[in-house]
Parts: sequence; structure tokens; C-alpha cells
Amino acid sequence: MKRSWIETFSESLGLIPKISDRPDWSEEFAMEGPRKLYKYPDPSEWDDFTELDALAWPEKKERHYSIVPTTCFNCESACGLLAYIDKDSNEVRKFEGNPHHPGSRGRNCAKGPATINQINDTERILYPLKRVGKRGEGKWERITWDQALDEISENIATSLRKSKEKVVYHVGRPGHEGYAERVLKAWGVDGHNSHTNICSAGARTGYALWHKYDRPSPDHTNAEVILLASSHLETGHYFNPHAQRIMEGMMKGAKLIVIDPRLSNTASMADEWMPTYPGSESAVFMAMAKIILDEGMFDRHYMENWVNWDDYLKNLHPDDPIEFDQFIKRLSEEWAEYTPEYAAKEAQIDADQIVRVARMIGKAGSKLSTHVWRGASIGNLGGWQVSRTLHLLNVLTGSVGTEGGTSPSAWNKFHPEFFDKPPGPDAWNELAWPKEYTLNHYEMSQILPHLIKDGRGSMDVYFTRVFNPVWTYPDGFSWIEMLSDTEKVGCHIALTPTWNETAFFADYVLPMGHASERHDINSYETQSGVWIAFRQPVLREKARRDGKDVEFTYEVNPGEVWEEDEFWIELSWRIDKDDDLGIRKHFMSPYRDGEKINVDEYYQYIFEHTNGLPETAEKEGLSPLEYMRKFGAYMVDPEVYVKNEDAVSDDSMNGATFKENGQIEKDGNIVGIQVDGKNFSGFPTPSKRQEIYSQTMVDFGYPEHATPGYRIKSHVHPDEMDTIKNDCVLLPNFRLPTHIHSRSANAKWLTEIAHKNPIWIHTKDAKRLGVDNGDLLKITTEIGWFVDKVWVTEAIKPGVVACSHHIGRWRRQQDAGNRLMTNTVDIRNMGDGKWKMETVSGVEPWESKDPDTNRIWWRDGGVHQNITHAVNPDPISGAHCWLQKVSISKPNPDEKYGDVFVDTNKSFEHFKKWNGYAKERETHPDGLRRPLWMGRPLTPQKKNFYVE
Amino acid sequence: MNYGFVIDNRKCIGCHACTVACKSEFDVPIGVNRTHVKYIEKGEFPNNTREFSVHRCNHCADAPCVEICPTTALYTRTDGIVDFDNDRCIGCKSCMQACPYDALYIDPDTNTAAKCNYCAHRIDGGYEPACVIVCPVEAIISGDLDDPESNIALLVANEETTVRKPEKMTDPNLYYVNGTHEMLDPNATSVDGKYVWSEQAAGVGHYAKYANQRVAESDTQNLMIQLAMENSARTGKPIDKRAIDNVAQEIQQNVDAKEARRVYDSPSKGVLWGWEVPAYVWTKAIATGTFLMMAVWHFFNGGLESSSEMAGLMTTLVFMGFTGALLVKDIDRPDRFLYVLLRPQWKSWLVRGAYIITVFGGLVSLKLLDNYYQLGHDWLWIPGTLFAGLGAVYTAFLFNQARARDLWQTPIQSAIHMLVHAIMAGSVVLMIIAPESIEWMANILLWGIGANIVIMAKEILMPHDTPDTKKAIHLMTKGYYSKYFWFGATYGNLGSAVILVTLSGSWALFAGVMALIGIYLTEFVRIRVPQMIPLS
Repeated sequence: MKRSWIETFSESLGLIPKISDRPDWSEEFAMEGPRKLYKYPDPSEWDDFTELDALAWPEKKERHYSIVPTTCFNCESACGLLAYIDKDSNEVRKFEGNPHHPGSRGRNCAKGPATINQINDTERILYPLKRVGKRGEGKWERITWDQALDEISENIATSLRKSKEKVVYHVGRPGHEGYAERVLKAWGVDGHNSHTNICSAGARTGYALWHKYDRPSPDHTNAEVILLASSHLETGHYFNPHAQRIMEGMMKGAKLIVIDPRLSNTASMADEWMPTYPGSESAVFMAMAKIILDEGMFDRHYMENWVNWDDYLKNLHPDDPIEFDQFIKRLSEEWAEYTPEYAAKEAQIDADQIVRVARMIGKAGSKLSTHVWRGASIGNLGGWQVSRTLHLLNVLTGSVGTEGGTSPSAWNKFHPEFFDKPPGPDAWNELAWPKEYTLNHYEMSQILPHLIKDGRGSMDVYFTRVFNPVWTYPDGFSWIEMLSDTEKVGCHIALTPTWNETAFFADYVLPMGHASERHDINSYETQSGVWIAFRQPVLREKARRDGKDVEFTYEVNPGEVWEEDEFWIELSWRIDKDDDLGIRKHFMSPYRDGEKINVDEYYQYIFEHTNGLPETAEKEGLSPLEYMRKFGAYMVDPEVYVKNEDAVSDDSMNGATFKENGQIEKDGNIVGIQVDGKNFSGFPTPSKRQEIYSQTMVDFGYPEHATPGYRIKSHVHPDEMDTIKNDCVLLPNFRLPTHIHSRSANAKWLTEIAHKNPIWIHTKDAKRLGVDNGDLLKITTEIGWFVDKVWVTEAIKPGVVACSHHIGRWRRQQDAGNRLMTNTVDIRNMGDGKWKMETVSGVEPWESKDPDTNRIWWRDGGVHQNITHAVNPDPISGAHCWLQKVSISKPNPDEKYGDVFVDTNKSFEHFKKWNGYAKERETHPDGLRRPLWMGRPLTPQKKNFYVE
Repeated sequence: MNYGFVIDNRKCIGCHACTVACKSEFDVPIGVNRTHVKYIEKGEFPNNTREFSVHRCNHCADAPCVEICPTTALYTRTDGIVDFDNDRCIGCKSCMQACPYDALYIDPDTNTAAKCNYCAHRIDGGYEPACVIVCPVEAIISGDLDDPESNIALLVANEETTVRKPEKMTDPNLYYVNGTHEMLDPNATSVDGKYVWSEQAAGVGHYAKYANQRVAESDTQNLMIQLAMENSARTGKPIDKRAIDNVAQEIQQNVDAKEARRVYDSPSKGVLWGWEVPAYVWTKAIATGTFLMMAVWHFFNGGLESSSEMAGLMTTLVFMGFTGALLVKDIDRPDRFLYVLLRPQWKSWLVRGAYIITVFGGLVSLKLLDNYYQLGHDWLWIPGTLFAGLGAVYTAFLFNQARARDLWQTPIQSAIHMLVHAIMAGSVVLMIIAPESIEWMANILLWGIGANIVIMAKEILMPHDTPDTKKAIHLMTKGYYSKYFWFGATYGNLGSAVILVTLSGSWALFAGVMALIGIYLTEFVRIRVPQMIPLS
């Protein structure tokens, strides 16, 4: 570039540094004409990829990277990431997308690239810690992994010799397929607990009643109508891959319908936003189903062949002729009450919109993709009706498993084959599966402290794994009480990448690796195909590329951060140190006789048994494991539809008979369905069909719910609200695009975007209460209250207030970690179950080796609302009904921003009331605890399904 | 070849992946962004909506930042990318006054300016920018606008697109599909730092250095509060929250449209040309004005007494020294102040002005030596006067190059105004150093005050051609700083004039000092106020 002679002259005199000769680098190629730009480096270059240093530019400083694929660990989508490892410093510089990952296709949400913040967090836990002093005191000493393994294995061994139910592994974010369940089975304990019942348990139950499969897999790309009772254009599972495909569908002309009382970012992109009053969604879906039925828009062929309408008639109208048209007539009668006007009144929306949308859905036919994961299904009492009635729309339109329709998740998910399969435990853990809950999906995790308080048991060893119930769960003070009791919880081990409120009350805090620091296999239903992805410790793979041997992942991770896969192997080995508990045999290498398995062999086996992977790998001259290490992902099957039309195996057909209704029967079991002369394997239900009539509901004491409908009014139904007391609905479970519960607080680029959680309140409601934007409001729940700032907005339904449960993290004066997002609080146990939390200070800057920590430009860390929520276990699905009935008022003069109060005695009474709902209908047909055909994680041996 | 962007708002879901991918690519410090996402909401429930839009450098074909940068730290490449070399940057922040899109920031790590540079280091290797490849919905499209077969060219050809502030004639190379007026016009929504899930409580970028001294929360339509906080942070005094809130409300009233609401935006970067800038304009007015008045006396009255003239020349030099010191203090890389002279980008008035005052300083020094040694080189008055005049007015042209600030787009009027200020200031100095000149100077001062009042009145009363000018005038005359403005205008001008007319003798000096204070205050407000108007 042309420079003044003054500059060049001054440089030659040494007055100023010589930088004038830096050219306009674009001159080289600008004259050449159009130039192709690539998005991602080709895998052939990943071993040694050269990129110019971004900050040295326009000086051309080459950086050489070893690019290693892994998957993101922030949400469950496990989107592909490429770790750029600087070959000079052997550190990860940044994360970009992995183009080879069939789900994410090289793209990520904000949390993906922010992973580098979590890796470089200056407050990370780098070494195993053991508590000093009382539990919860906040004092820790560093120990070795050896000591941790020895002491914990001793605890577990002692417990296993006495009981098969007192060692519990409680998982928040699994991020893997079946690893921990296999380990627990090897130990012979019914010891699995999860977070599912505060997440998707409601929706799962609704889906499972139809076809056992408990989650949807919408084919958005090919849909004509996309119906979301969720906010999947901005957050949730599987946000990034789904958003990509929803937008693809929309750009091709698909219409987006969003059901949400709040104007989410997703709703703002919708063609039809239906701001339903919380809990009314099933009524709206039933009204739409009725219109589709009455106007003849349903898929007759599908309904006739794939729905158990004959069971419906036989059981509900035994005198009727078994004819399809008779079924339609009866269905129409059953649905007579679900007029658009009725639904519009329940939902407080326009009846015209319901009719309009119903017709859009009817016209979409087989190209209707729908989705609900949490939202209304986990918000309301009877929320499981939401997914049941939503799926009804797919059944009516014949869009179950079709192109552009909605498949069961299991069709788009790969189940790895394990090198060793221990049998299910000979036990039944009643702290996770209390007998009064017969149809719940996944463990009754949110009432664990209450069940223990109720004297139902105790735990010898309790692992909280990437799980933060003290903060994320409702009624966190009950968790604090439970965790503080060393009788009820003998040994508490927190397995976590970062400090969290629950770890403060642990005995051991063991740092486990993040996305680029651990092994996992992932497979999720993000589209109509099936894929697997490999999460790996990238520095370990780099070491291997450099020809170095690594025995354990903590050798390459920061500090001594380890990973669970190896930890479980070592722990299991030591639990059974005398080889008399029958555990070691489940950890033997399949390749080296008599040797302990190692993590590489574990995955080698899985990949060798993945359909098509060995062949694909061989084409590249690689073993299956080498292939996954290099590419990070593999497409098992690019397109999967209508698996119910898979052929019945010849074995099953041998000696089978055909029933009149098309069912293929053999040895007293239904093994398939014959449609138009072809023999299909059908759905994994008793009838092998979509069950519009559920015998299971009848058997387990809920005959009124034999069919889909809107029969349970939400616990926050307007009838429950006392407007004089300023009662309204608090919607606490909406998520932000940039956060993920407890794991994103140490990601500075995410926390600077979102760090406060005001109460969204409609302009009319704000006016009525006399509050302006930024004013304080006191929200009183059924067990306590909190004081938060107000966000006056048009973006929420009047009568509903909303507050995001992603923000409001805290630590006490004695605690460490996550200072980018945590308020410092003072917690006082006032006795008699009364707890008070006050915010001592907001987020403050501090000095560290990262200069950014001293540049924090926000102070507001939000308010912790979850802890004031009463537990609301749905008697049927077991799901925690997140929506809270609250009353709103102005705070008293001495009540400040961030104040929280809870009465755990009240919450226990509240638990007993809701627990009573399950008890009063408790039915055990044939002495069964729950239906045998319905899934249950870590399935115990059959005899344990029966109550003694 | 001409690289540009299309932001397709039909697809953008406001997820911030681009914001974070860019942070990761360049390790951008927190508080500042090379690209950010703005959210607005419109309408009433249930017919309301929310929009998202990505904002960053537009890689303008006629980039104001390139024109004003004194050292060619910012430059336009042959392929259309507006790139920067932060080894050349002196941190003068002129680019931030010039860019109408608020695309630049001061990087607190290097104290130099930075912005989106189209990931030029990736383009070099043949790869697209980091924000483009991360976007889940491919809402950011990059490519060669000159290549008719490229995706981006086809999009621009086939879809209706808009650009930000076309009236600024910057010829931007970033096109929006579905860019609504409420989203792209910064005046359509108010800016208060309190957003749906963020709340600014402290400074960023240039002001990040005070992070660990921050005191209270609160923020408002940015700027002066933040500065108050900055000062308060340095002195450790608590801020009166009530005062802040009152001011915040008052500023909200100055916003035009209320139909749309800004619900998320990146934090405000503050007023970047602080008190140092009006201060150096003031000291420069004194310095050049003194010389000009001495020249007047020389040409019309045969010159001052030798000792008075020495005093005058010393005064000029000393105040030129202050001016230089303030200029150096204001830049964020004072260690590189010589770059303005030694790495000149001749189109920039910062460079031209620096040479002008350097030459002027040289001439004054020569005249001083000439007087001291009584060498009689009277001809020095001629070039001296010329450079004094240029020195007095060049800042008007520099401000004119600051194309983001509508109020400053009146170069001739501002030049005359600055000349008037110089003459006024000079007359006061002469009154002090040359008592024999008091009567003349008092008259000149009076005429100067008259001219000053006329020019200020014209600026306030004549119709304003852009909304930003209107806003600036409103803030100047009715907003938080209006008290400084009116005090300066009345006390410094009217009050001073009254004294000059009614009293005589050394009262003129008193009036002169009042006038000097008035000049500083009005100049201070005129420089501060346009920086408070949001650009994005």
C-alpha cells in the first residue's frame, strides 16, 4: 500500500517501528476474478491445518492446528465441534462446528463456541476435593484420585453387601448412551435417578400411551405445517439441529404454528401464534381434532389400519358392530364438547384462529411435523394430555413416521451394542419408584427429599452427576435439608465440571471433563436419519497423533480433571477388590483375556458393532474406532420413515395366524399387522397399533382416560385463581438461547448477554398493580416468596407472569466459583422449617489471570425463584408441574431485591397433598407396580415389578 | 471483487451464535462486540412481534472511518473489505465519531480501535467468516457482490433489500432482507441499557479500565451517567440514584418514536471524546487568538511594546503546549502520538491540523527568537497569521469528517464560529498582557460576542434537516447539559456584553474571563451532546 515518504523516512531513522511495508493482501487475488470460499477445512487437512493468527493480522503469522472432532456438552443435542489445538502450545484455541456431524452439519448455537470459556474458566475445579468440617461448611482439601477411589469404593462395597437400593447415581445431563446404566446393572443396584421428571416426563407419558415410544422426532425439513408447543427455534432439545430444519421447511413454504402464552423468539417467527392460557392446550388440540374429524380431513386408510379402533368399540361400546364408520361416529359423539368456542374460552384465544389452524393442519396431511418436549406438558397438572392430544393430530392426519411428519424418537436414534450386558437388578428402589406412582415416566426425582422426610428410606452413597437440584429443582431448601443430614445421605459425591450449589453440600467434589475432555457416544433424534457422534478428550487424541501414549484422560486434561467413563471402570474394579461381588466380570476386556477393559476398547467394541461403520471405515483405510476419532460422527442411516412397516421376520411368521382386524398372532402374542396383504411389524404396543384406546389406563385405575381428551384441568386453571388476592400463573420454565441451567454460568461470552431474570408482566397487569418497568414485585408461591424486578411487556398473556429459571445463581460467602453470574447470598435457617436468603452483593469484577474478569460491566445476577416453588408431582405422569399458582403484591419496605423466603414444613404438607392424589387412585392390577410393556430405565428383573 | 454481507432477517432467530463465534475468533474482550444482535418489539398483545437483526461494520465503499483515520490504521482493501492494522492505531477515536453505524470500539487489551474486518485472515486462506459458518439458519450470507453468480449477488438481485442510513452516502456493502424501519433506524427505539435480560452498570471498551472501581448500578441512555459514574468511581463518591433516575426519565422524553421498543442491545460504549477535546479547542483558541490579535495590533497599530509582545508570544506557545498535551492525553495510545505526523493519512483533518499547528508552533518560536534577538523579521507575521487562522478553524473540518455526528456537518459555519472564539479569546489575553490595548480589545470582544450570539442563535433556531440534528439541539438546549449551555451562553455572552457596554476600564478583563468560561462551556456541550445520540 502506498505510504507517505515521511513515514518510510522516519522508519529508516528508527523514529518509529517498521510496519509500513505490510501490503494489501487482497491485491494478490482481487484481480483474479471470482474466488470460491470454503466453510470448513477438509478432514484431510485436520492433522495439520494452517490458519493465520487473527490478532496478529495484518501481519501474517501462521498457526498450525491439529483439529480434533468432539461434541458439545452443553445441551443434549451433542452438536459437532472441532477443537483447534495449537501445535505449539498444545492448547485448544477455539471450537468451531463439525461439518461431518449429520445433526448439526457444522453449525452451532451460541453455547457451542462458548465452550472455550468453560474450558478456560479460571475458577474451574481442577483436583478431586474432600470436605473438611461439616457438610455444607464450604471447606475443602485436595486429595488424590487414588484416595477418592479407595474411600468411595469402600463405601459402595459396604452398602452393596447389605442392600441393592442404597447406592444412587442421580444424573442431570446424561450426554451419553447407556454407560452409567450398564455400570449400575453391573453393581446389581436399582440405583438410577434422573432429572427427567422435571423435564420431559409429562410429554413422554402422553406419547407412550399411544405407542410406547416416548419422544417425538419431527421431520421439519419436509413438513408443510410445523406445529410447536415449544420454543425450539431458540432453545431446548434439540434446538440447533431443529432450528436449522424448521427454517429450511419454512423457506420452502411450510407454515409455523406456535403455542405459547409468552411471545418467545419462536412465536415471533410464527405464521400463527396461539397464546393459549396455560393448561388449555389439550382443549385446543381436541377442538382441532374434532374439526379434522367432522370435516373429513382425516387419513382414513391410516386410521383404519394403524389405530386400535376395534379395541375402542369393544371396550367402550360393546354392543356396537365392529365397523370403522361406527368408530368414527362414536368418536364424533365423544368429542362433541370440544367445540372451537369451548376451546377458545378455555384458552382465552380466538375461536376463528382455532378453526383456521385446524384446517391448515388437516390440509397438511402426512406432512405435519409436531413437537412438544417440556412447555405445557411439564407445566400443568395433567400436562401429559398435551402430548397425547398433540400426537392425536398426527394420527388423524396419517403423519406418524412419514416424510415431513413426526416419527417416534427411537426410529431416529441409535442404540449402541455393549461389550457386556449385565442383567437388570433384582431390586426395586422405592425412593425413585414409589409404589403409589404406577404410570410415571422416569424416576420421581423431584420428591426425593420429601420421600426421605416421609421415612421411606435413606441412601448410603449418593452421586449427583452434572446435576444441581439445590438450584435447578423446586423447593431447593428441602434438598439442602436432606443433603445436610448425614444419616439420610451417607456419602454425597458430586461429579461435575464446575462448582454448583449442590456441590457445596457434598463430601467429595470430583471434577469431570467438559466437551473436549471426556469420552461419550451420542445419538439423538434430530432429523429423519440416524447418526452417532463421538465425544472425545481432544488432547488425548492429539497425543496419540503425536505418537504419545496416554493411559488415563487426566494426564492430558487441565489439572487432574478426569472423565466418568474411566472413573467408573476404576471404581467398579475397586468396589469388587476381592472379586467376590460379581462386578469385575462385567469390566473385562473383550480383546485381552483376563484384563480390565479400558476406555478405548469400550468404544472400539461399540463402533465395530455399528451398522455399516466398519465398511465405511475400511474405505478410508481406518478401523471403526480410528474413523470415529478422525471424523467424530457417522451417519448410520440417512433416512428412516414408517418403521412400523418393517417386515415381520420369517421366524415370527412361521406358524402365525391372522385375526380379522389384521393382527398377526403367534403363541398368544400379537407379532405384527397385515395391511393390504403385507405383513408389517407394527408398533411396540399390546395391539401393535397406535392406541387410541388404552387398556393400560383402564387397568391402572383411570378408566376416564382410556382415550385422549381434555379432562384434567390444570392446577393453575382460572377457576383456581383468586383474582382478589391477585392470584395469577407464574411461568418459570422458559429458557434462554444462551444458557443451559447450571453449566453456562462460567461462560463469560454467554453471561454478558444474559444475566438477569426480571418478571415479565403484561402492561395491563402492571398498571393494575401500579408498577413500572424496573420496579420490585413480591411473588408469593404456596411455600414461600421472592422479590424481583419487573419487565413490563406486551409479550406475555395478561394474567400470566413469567420469569426465566436459567438465572439467579448464587454462592455463600464461603463458596467459590461462577463469579460471572452468581450473587453472593446470606442463607439463614430460622428454625421450624423457615429459611431466608438475602442477596449480599450482585456480580462483582475480580482480578484473575483473565483480564476480562476485571471488566464485568453488569451487577445484576437475577433472583433465584426455583427454590420457592412447591413440588407438584402429577399423579399419573409423575412430572413436576412447573407452573406455580402465585399471588403478586408490592414488597414490604424491608423486603429487598433478591430476597427469598421458604417454609419447608409448608412444602412438605404441600407434597403430602399432591402425593395424596396418586395414593387415592393407586391401583395394582395383578399386583403390578406399573405396566410391564411400558419402559423403565434400568429395568429390574421381572419379579420386582410386582408389589409384595 | 467486492466482499459484502447479506443479513436475511426472514431467517434470523436471534440466537447470538454469531456474536459468540466472533468473540471466539478474535478473543474479543467482554463489553464490546464486533457484531451484535439487536432485538425490538412492536405492537400490542396478541398482535405483537419481536424482530432480531445483526449489526456490524458495513464495509462501506466510501468509509468515513477510513477518511478520518490519521494513520491509515483503517483502510479499504482492493477486495472491498475495510480492514485495520492496530499497530498503526493511536486511539484517537476519530473513527468512532465518523462511523454512523457504531461499528468500532476501543479494545481494552491494546487501547486501539477495532471492528469487524470480515475475518480477513480467514478470507486470505479461502475460508468464510466465522459468523457465517456458525449460524444455525444461515442468516448471514457472505460473498463477492461483483460476482453475478454468487449466492449473495443473486440474493441482492432478487430480494428487496435495505441498508442502514443510506442518506449518509457511505455506500454500505451490507444489505438486509426484511430490515424494517423500526429495527434499522436507531431513533425509532429508545436506548436505556436496561434490557430484557441484561443491564449495564459499568463502562466497557475505552471505559473498561475502571471496572474494579465501579460503585452503584443503573445506567440510562448511556453516556453522561456512565461518565458521572466514571468520575465517581475514580473519586470513590457514591452517586445519587435519584438524580440518575430523573435524568434518565428526562432523556427518554427526548426520544421520537415510541411504537417500537428496543428490548435487547449490546452495552453502550459511552462518550468517547471527553472533556479533553473541548479543552484543547479552548486552549487552541486562546493560543491562535492571541497571535491573531497581536497580528491585528501589529498591522493596524504598529505593534505592541516589546515586553507585551514577548508575553503574548509566550502565552501562545504555552497554550499551544497545553493543546498538544491535551491532544496527547486524549488519545488512548499516547506513546504513538508522533504517528499523526510521521504516518500521515493526508485526507484526515487530524493530520492536516497537526501539521498546521506544528508549523504554527514553529513560526511562533521563530518570532519569539526573532523578538528576543531583535532581528527584525517582521515578515513572520504574515505566515504566522495565516497559520494562526488555519489553526483556529481546522477543527471544524475535522468535526465535519466525523460523519456520524449530524450536528457537526456545518463546516463553514463552525469554522467561522471557531474563528470568532479565537478572536474573542485572543482579545481577552491581549487585555491582560497589553493594557494599552484594552479599549480596542474590549470593542473587538463585544463584536465577537455579538457574532457568537448570532451564530449560536442560527444553529438553534434555523430549521434542522435531520432528526439527529434536531435531537442534538434539543439535548443541548433542554436536556441535562442545557444548564451548562445556557449558563455559558448567558453568563459568558450576554453577561459579559452587558459589563463591556456599561462598565469600563479593567472591568473589561472581568467580562473577558466570563467570556472565556462561556466559550468553554458552550463548546463542551456542543461536542458532548451529539455523542449521546445512539447510532445503532
